[in-house]
Amino acid sequence: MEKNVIIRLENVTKSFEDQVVLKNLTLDVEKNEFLTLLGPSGCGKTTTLRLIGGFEKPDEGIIWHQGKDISNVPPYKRNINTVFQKYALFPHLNVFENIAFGLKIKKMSKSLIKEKVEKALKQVNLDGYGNRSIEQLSGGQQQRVAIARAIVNEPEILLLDEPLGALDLKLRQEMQYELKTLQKELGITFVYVTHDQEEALTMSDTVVVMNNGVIQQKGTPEDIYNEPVNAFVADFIGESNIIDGIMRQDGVIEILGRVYECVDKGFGTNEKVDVVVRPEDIKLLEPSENKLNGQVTSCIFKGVHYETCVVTEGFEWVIHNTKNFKPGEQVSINVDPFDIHIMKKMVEEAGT
Amino acid sequence: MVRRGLEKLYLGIIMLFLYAPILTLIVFSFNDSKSRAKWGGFTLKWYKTMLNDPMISKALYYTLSIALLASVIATIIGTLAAIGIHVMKKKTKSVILNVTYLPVLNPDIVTGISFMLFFVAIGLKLGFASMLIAHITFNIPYVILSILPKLSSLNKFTYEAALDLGAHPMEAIRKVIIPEIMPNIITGFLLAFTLSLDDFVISYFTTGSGVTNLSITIYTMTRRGIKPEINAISTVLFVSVLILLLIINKRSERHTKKLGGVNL
Amino acid sequence: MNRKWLATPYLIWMVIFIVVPLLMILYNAFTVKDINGTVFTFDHMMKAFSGKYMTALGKSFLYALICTVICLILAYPLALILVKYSKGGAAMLFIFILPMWMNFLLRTYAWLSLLETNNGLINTILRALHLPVLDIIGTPSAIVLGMIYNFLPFMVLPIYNALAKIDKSVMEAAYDLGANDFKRLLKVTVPLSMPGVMSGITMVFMPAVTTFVIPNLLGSGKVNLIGNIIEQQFLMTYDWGFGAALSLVLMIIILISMAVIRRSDEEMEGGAGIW
Repeated sequence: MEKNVIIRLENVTKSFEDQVVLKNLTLDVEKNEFLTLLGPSGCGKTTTLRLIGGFEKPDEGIIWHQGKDISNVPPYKRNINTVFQKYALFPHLNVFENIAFGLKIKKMSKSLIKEKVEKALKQVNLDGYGNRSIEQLSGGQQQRVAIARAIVNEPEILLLDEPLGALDLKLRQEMQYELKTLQKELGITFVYVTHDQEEALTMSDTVVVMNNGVIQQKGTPEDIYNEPVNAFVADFIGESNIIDGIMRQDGVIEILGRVYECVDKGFGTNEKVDVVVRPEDIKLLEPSENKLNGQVTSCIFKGVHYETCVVTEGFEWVIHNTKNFKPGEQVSINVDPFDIHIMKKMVEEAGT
Repeated sequence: MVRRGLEKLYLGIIMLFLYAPILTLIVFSFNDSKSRAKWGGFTLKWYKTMLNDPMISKALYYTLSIALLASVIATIIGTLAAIGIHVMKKKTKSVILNVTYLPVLNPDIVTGISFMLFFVAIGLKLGFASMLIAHITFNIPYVILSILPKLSSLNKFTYEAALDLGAHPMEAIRKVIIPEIMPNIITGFLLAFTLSLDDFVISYFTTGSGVTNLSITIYTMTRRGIKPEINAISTVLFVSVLILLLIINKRSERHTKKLGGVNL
Repeated sequence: MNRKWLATPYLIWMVIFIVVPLLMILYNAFTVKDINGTVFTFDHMMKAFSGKYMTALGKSFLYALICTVICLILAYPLALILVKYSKGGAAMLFIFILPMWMNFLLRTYAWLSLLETNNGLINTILRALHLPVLDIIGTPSAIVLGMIYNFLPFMVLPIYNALAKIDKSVMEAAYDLGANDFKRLLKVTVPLSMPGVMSGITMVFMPAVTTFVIPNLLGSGKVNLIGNIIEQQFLMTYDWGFGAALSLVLMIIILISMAVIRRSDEEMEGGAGIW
């Protein structure tokens, strides 16, 4: 195993009551990276996280932790800690006691525990909250206690299961920033699970997009956003227009009968493909002969931009721009060749 | 308003219906004559007779010891059972719960008879042991019934969080689950205790060799005719139960206030 | 270690002390000891289904039914009133439930004492007022009265709980949509309180059918309900096979009716409507 890989799931398969959730999954997590598992409900991301944490055992395959097989090692023996989705704080203990729980199990001295707990409280900006009871805390504060409780044990890896789901937007954005900073401060590996693609793009070093138990794409946020490998990823990340096309030859794509220049190569001649164009990459100009022409059906003000819908020959395009178009206006679809992304057509997945 | 008046009247009538017999018993326990209708002056002599009656002291001893032992044992077995049953698969859980609630649903005479036939068949002489076993058996379902709903409403991840933080399964149960369900364990215990104290039918069929309890003694006494000592016993029992219930009520009120929510 | 194994001590206990004893009833109901040892027989069951005993069973059901109906009629308005005035906490409810926790024998004895023909308090008062005497000890009326007295709180509690759970805004919505008090009672309150009513009926009817203490004390042994008959088989005539057969019949009838009633109820784990 490579020196830099801290966790490796190798050919892992997991089922629950006849339902296959993960099939032959292989994934490497590198040391000290912020890796996010992203996907819709039921895609297997939480199961993957729980396998790393030790709350589930793989039916097939191995889980490696720096060269050691930990597939059958229970959670209390792994140097990994988890921040649970609904915090799972112990209601009968106060903030200090919650955070100290893991340290008490390790039978540390009282003074050492006090020192570490107070340090952890500072790290999550809850200095002085030790005496509070859990019911008195707000959602955001409970969240921080959950994080403190986990990191005070100095784990090698921190697992986070959709921790920000229950918070309101502003708080969520604040916490995203704080978590990212915390990870850099602690210098440990974070494995994060979410269904919110914006969150994933904001915080991660690496994003792993999953669907139906299969990894669709793994890469940096920029890679995933700019070069989605298939329609699922393109659709899941950001907004996009996905339309059928025929690749006439390298650099030439035919969409709904019109020919556009693009920069992708390596597809077969006249191959049927999926074409992805981001809403912010489309320019609406006067109708023109060799472009797709259509009619504006709606234009809604969204604050940051206008969301304009244009229908051309049965396909509805979504465009983000700063111009206010009137429904009924005739326009043409214009895209820079660099912004047209071609993807191979998706094959049906096993277990779909 | 007429409506309010009628409602209050109705409440009053029902209250009268419910309490008249009991109050009559209490009042006449102080009656210095054996009559159930005529007042012959205030006296405590029936209480003295009651306290000196060896049959009653013996019954009281057995009643309390069986109730205490049975409820403690039932609480221990029942708590472990509830924790275990809670994590079972739906089908298994359903079967086990249905069997568990059989003693609750079955008429007590049938349960009592089933115990008697069983003990005789295995050659266990009816007495303290058989009565104790029977009490434990009918107490356990009530303990489970008190705890199981609470287990369902707990955050299922606190147990996993404890494991995550390094606790072994037994440690996690001890440090996390038990504290959270403690109020329900206590309620289950009190419920079992009260049911055992008050039991008649099942005890009637499972005891022997001179072992008896308060209810059986009262039954035998009443079959022989009306006796004023029974009034004295009634008063004492009534007051004890009243105090016990007030304590339980105060506990549950305080506990509810602490959680800042509504009970029931 | 899987937590589910914690239930093992209980499971062993359950099989030995719940399942086996019930099987014993089955065994005794269908066997008899004769010169050849223990043989299988239908005799006990046949006897159980004979006229005399079916009549007793029928009588038990009838009295229990009367008692249940009267309890329902008395308890429902009471529960409604209690819920209405429950702002003072559950104190009012407590007062009406307290008798339930009194020893059941003593409660029955209390009525025996009151209703006595010659010396009971009620008749003493009636005589003083030159009114006819109430000579009901030893008759079914006394037994039904005793049943109602004992079981009324068991009908009140579940109905109260069910009524208290009804969301106030549902009641207000009914007003808003034009229902008057009576219509609202009929079309909204009663249907929503049904689970509680079902609970109450269960908790009253079943014990009422099978009691033998109440007929023994208030019926002076003159009225024989199914509970008494079973008791007699075991403690007087020692015809255990027959007694077991009767118990079996009783148990099956009751368990079937419970299953039917509970089919519409929520799962046991979520609470049985009483607590």
